[in-house]
Amino acid sequence: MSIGPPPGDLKNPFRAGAIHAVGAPAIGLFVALMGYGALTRGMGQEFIVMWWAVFTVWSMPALMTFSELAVSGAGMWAIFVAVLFSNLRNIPMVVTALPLVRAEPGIKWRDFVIAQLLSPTVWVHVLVQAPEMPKPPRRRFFTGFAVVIFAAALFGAWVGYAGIEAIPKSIGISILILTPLYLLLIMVSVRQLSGYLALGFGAVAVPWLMQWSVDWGLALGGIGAGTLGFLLGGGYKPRGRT
Amino acid sequence: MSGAPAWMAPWLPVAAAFAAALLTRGAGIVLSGRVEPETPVFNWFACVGQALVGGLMVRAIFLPTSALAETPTLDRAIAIAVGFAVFFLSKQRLLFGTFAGVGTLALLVAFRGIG
Repeated sequence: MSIGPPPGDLKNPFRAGAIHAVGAPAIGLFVALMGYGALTRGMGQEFIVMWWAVFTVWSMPALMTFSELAVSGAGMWAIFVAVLFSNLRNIPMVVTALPLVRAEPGIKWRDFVIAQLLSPTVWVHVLVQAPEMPKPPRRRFFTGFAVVIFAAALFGAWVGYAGIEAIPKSIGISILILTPLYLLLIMVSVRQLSGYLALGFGAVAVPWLMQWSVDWGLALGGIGAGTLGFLLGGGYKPRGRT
Repeated sequence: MSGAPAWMAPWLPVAAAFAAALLTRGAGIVLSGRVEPETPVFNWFACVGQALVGGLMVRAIFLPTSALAETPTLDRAIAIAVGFAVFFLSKQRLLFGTFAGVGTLALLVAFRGIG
């Protein structure tokens, strides 16, 4: 699979999207959630709680925050606030993904399905590939794509929780680099100067600021670096694919 | 969590986390109804999203909290460099670049006898 237009056969867009997800996207999330499953087992979290958290929260930083707080006996309010902050990255992802997959104006109930299934992997694919597709099949294509990713992740969480010891450690460690590398490779394919600059500034600012505060560093680093890239890259110009 | 029946205890944190996740996604849905693609507002949100996600991915590679931390930073940097090089040399084939990076790290891990 290379970056560019999605598969040409869109007679059954849901199926085409599902097939498109098989490979690196699904493997990446399978492995990422395998790591999470193994981690929560080590923490002593119940399997069914971990699995439902993946199902309902579906965001790795938020899941990590949730598990750390839940097993340490934090209150509901603390968990709510912490997960809210670690989930802030969802807002720009949802805001930019939905207009690209909508074939008709206005908010529909189906928007909630896409929003709930959205992960960084799905978002980057929407951002890069949706503009290359005709509008009508986009929503079903990316729903199929996201459902496969989601299923792979749930399966990965189960495998990680149930049998992480069976996987050779050297392989398990190396595969952990798959998802971040995969997403960075897709993101450098967004042909937009403001996007490149935002990515570059974010790559420096977000990890640096998160050493000071995980939640505030993520929010301030993301907004600051994104705004800087937006301004320096000319993203403020109308129709600014600059 | 005092006052709640014992069987609810594990589920209340899940409910709190779900409510928080729903709120951020719901805020995104409401805002998305007012944002058109190819407009400055859309571009700003896309830039913030790229900075956030890109930053998190770089952090996951170079400041990992996972078992990846057991590998030297240099090995991770080499693996990423190989992944990018193969990606661009193969005319941006994602699978080639991704698995070249993962394979390089696996070889380095095996060479160093980690795990």
